[in-house]
Amino acid sequence: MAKRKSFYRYRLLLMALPFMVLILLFNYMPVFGWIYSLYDYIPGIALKDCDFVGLKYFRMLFTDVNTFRVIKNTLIFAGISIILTPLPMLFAILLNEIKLRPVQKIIQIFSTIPNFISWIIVYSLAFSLFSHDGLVNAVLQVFGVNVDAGNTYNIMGDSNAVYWFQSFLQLWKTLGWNAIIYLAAITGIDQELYNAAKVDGAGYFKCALHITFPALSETYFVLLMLNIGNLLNTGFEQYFLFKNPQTASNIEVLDLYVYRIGLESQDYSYGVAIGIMKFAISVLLLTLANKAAKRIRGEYII
Amino acid sequence: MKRKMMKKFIALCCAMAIVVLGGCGNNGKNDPETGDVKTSSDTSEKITITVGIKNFVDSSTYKYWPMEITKAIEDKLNIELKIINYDDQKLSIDLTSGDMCDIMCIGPEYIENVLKGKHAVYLDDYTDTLAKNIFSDRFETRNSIIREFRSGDESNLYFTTPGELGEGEGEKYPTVMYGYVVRWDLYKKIGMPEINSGEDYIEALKKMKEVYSETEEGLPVYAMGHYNDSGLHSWTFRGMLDLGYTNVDGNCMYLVDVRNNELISNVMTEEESSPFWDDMHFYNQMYKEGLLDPDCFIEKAEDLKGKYTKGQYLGGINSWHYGDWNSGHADSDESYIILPSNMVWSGATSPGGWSDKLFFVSSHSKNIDRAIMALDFFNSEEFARLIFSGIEGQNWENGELTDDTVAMKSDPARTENWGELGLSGSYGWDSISAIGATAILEDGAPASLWNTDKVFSSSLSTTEQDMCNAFGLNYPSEIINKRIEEGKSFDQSKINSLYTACMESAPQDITRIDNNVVEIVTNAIPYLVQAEDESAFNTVKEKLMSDLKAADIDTAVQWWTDTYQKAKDKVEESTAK
Repeated sequence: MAKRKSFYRYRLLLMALPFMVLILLFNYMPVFGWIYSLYDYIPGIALKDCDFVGLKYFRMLFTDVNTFRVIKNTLIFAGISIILTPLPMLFAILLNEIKLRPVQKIIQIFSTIPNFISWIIVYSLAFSLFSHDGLVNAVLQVFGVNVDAGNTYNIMGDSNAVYWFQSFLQLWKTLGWNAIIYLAAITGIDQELYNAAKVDGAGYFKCALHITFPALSETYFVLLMLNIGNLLNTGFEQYFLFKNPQTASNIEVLDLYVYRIGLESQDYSYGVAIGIMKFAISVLLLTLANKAAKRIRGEYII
Repeated sequence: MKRKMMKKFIALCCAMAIVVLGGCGNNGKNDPETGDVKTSSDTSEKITITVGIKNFVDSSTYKYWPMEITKAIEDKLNIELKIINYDDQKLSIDLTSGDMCDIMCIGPEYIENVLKGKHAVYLDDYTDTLAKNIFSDRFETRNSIIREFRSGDESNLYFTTPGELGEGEGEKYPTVMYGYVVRWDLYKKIGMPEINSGEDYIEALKKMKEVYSETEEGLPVYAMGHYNDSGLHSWTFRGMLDLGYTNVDGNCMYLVDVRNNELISNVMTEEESSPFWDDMHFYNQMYKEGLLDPDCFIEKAEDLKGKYTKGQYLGGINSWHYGDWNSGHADSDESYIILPSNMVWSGATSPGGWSDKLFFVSSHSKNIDRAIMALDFFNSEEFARLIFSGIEGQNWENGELTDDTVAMKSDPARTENWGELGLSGSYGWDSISAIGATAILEDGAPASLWNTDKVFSSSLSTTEQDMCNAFGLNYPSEIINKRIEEGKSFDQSKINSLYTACMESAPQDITRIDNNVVEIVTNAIPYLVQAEDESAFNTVKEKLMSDLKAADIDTAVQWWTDTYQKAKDKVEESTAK
């Protein structure tokens, strides 16, 4: 009887165990790799046989002209993504207002599908659409804009458009997917509130403004704070694929820089040092976001 | 009870450690008492031998694998042969884990990793037993270079190289390998103007665009495009070859003049006269003429191939990206051909082999003896003749190719048979064979029996035949000899490849600077090429120069200059001995 009680007490913990093991393996074990930043590591040679260089690579971070450029790019992309965070919520509210269920489902499916398209396909699509010989320029020519083939415009090669264009692609890809959590939250809103509002003469807009929107704000703020904590994880694949000589200086974010230094240039130790710097900044931002949450909402997220 | 369990646990850990550490030590080849290496040439058991090569066609994905040539190798050695494609990431991981192919091919930048990590088998132990071809007289120069410059602090032989060509065995090809690419039918339409410089080429391309401004499908036509996924290569390749240089590094930042073996920094020194600035002015001129594909800065190799396949280009910088165009137009005169530029790709010898490819037998291999036998076979004349000319009795006899084999190569209806045969050219065996194609073997004939004037003139495509008729040639590359005689071109016969073969690999600090420099130059190229006038061009150039100085390029240039000079002095010193 006592054994059974003890089993029930630990049952939930046991259920969580596989996931804890996964986190340990993939999130904590790699932290041991940080030691490589203190050595001149050469693949194939045991770490103990490599030269110990102490904080050489951390000092290098402050003299590397690229460090501040890639941090600036990362923060701009992250900043834009934070500015755009209300859009999935607004999309969910608008989607919820479509009362014709089949239409609502079709829109939801079509807006969610891009999330499952890999970035390499998105790149190919973008190339077909936006290149000088692409569909967009062809359509513009049909309508008399850029009639001369020499005047065609390719946004993929415009360094000034990098931040917004890449953010737009990111938004297009994830809008429907990110709206799902808000749609789920909307279904949890008590229908009686809507009925009462309608009795009081509220239309669709007022219902959305005074019932749906406030009900979603809690979810929105939690996600916003988590996003701020995750600010520097802007991703890699998208920027890697869309990088070209014309956009390189603006599109290179921290993750891409780590890839270029660590894997392309085989400069593993310095790559690890940059990764550690990214971690330190992320922890700092998360702490700030957590404190901001306490000040705004009266409670910590973590 | 707990203490007992703890003791058991510790004992188990100790036992496991003994087993694991035991496995990490000597692989059991050396006799612990005498130090002799026990070898066995027993090939009765069929085993698999894997060969790992960087940027190679993986046998698992190659359509025709195993070809007839593969089967002949497998029968000879009683093995199943697998070629594994490597990239830098996979190579680093495998070097770290020790879990690599039986035979590996690396670049010189990995020598330290391999030697300090003890990943390579010491070949001298097999001199008189399993590695007789490796230690044959033919490879005396190559082996002594590897001992002196590719063995770290030792003077042992761990590596072999492919592509050895001794004196008098200079490279020779049936067609012009590099130069000015043109669509032959359009070139004919504009009256076949002679092209002797970049300006001539631009003029010809301009005229070709006037007669063919869009494809039959209505797609716009451009003079050329570029691939941006191979570092600086696409933008620095043309000028380098046209002006008579070969590259020492992968990004064409440091070049050697083939006429006098002097090293230059492509970007920083010799400024206006360097191939880089010649290229920038060339492409800037093309941009101003509206000849350059406006997507040339965002295209990757695959995009380029796609546009070639659609016939959207009139010219180009090399023959690697024609896509399916030439094979789809084999019966017409609409194929791309290459006209020779100032420097022609022929005549180079390589007594030290190709210095950027170093083969070694992995000390982690489960079949070290068999792997050494395979590597030794790759160093044999038999292998060279097999991969270049085919199977004796079937593809060649008495030092001559059979008529059927020659006919097969140029017959579009027998493309499948040609692929299934799998000679070097359709598969990259030449990067594995220690002996180069034009090397003269013991029977007095070249390793590649395709390298005769008779064969050159009997295996021509329709376009090549048409070109020969137009210029009065027996085969396309004959034009090279004519131009050299007329003093319009020069070949690579004066280059001493031993200088670069003997250079030490760049340390990480220099590589870091070089990589940063490549990134800076890559990002400056669009602005140089698209500069609207001379003043805009110079502004970008000045900024580039100051950015490069800030990136400490002077340190890298100094290192490359000193290292090359050191290698040169050493080679001259040992030649004098």
